[in-house]
Amino acid sequence: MSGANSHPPLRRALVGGYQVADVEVALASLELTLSQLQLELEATKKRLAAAETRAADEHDRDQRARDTERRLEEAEAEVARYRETADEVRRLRERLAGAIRELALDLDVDELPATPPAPAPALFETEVELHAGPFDDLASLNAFEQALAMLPGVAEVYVRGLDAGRTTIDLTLHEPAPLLQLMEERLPFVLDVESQDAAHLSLTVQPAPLAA
Amino acid sequence: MTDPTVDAAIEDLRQLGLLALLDVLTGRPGERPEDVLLDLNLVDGHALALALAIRSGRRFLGLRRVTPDHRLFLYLPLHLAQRERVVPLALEDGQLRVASAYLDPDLSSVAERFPSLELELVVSPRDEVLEALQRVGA
Repeated sequence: MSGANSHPPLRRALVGGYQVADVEVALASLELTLSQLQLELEATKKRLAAAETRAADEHDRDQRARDTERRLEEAEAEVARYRETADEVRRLRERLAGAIRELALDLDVDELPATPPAPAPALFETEVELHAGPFDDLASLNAFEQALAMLPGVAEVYVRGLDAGRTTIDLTLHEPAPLLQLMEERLPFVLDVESQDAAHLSLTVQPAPLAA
Repeated sequence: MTDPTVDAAIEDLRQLGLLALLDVLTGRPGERPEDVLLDLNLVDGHALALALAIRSGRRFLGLRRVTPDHRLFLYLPLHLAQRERVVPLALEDGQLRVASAYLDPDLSSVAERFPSLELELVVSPRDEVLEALQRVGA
């Protein structure tokens, strides 16, 4: 407020109060100070508005981040629910299979012809050389490779060779497993076995027909 | 100018989602797009080699457990092999089978030196070519 104190001192007239010129000077000085204060006030208001806008933006960003986190948690919860449902279905299937077996026993089993037990599926060794084809393009080969990698018990799928559409694949299993049975049950392909032994398997592979 | 076969193989990988998004594939002059993709880890080397083999109609061969016969480097010197990213694999009936990371390695000096030697190129992943070269003399 230095402006308010910067005007010259008011001089008293001999009669009737202060000299007019002094008063006018003082008033002008006060008006100038007032203008300056108003300008400062405007600038401060603008800075305040900008700060409020930034704060609002930060708040929005935080809110969006919280929303994203919440959606992620909801998605994870949904996945867990689906897994539970799948487990329940599996348990139900096992119970049903058990019930059917018991029912078969309760019936007059003596009258049923004796059926030989199904042969155990052939087990493959942990290192299997697989010959498969034909694959005309990268997409079909990649699909087959990915499907093999997702079979239970498969540790690694390494395409070692490709010649005229026929591949040589080195399959590594965690432990000996009924590889061919797993492939026939789970791969979306029609497999025609050409030859097999515990460490080798040769197949013709065709895409499975789409369900009608 | 890029090789249309290489371009097609790269597009195959992109269609399958095996290639990280790269709208514009630029490299320094003389730099192969295959090397740019591999050096930037935008694609798996094995997948790229398979794509190149399928598009070019060449054989693909993985070299994971292959140790080259050092005698074959009499035909294809090691420094040339390292420069062109190739590995001699076998010599049969006057034909030298060579694994290559690229579809068009420059082996003209081999052809000049051994004019009756046929060269058969197979495609192999670049990192496996380099590892196989390291195993030479190990």
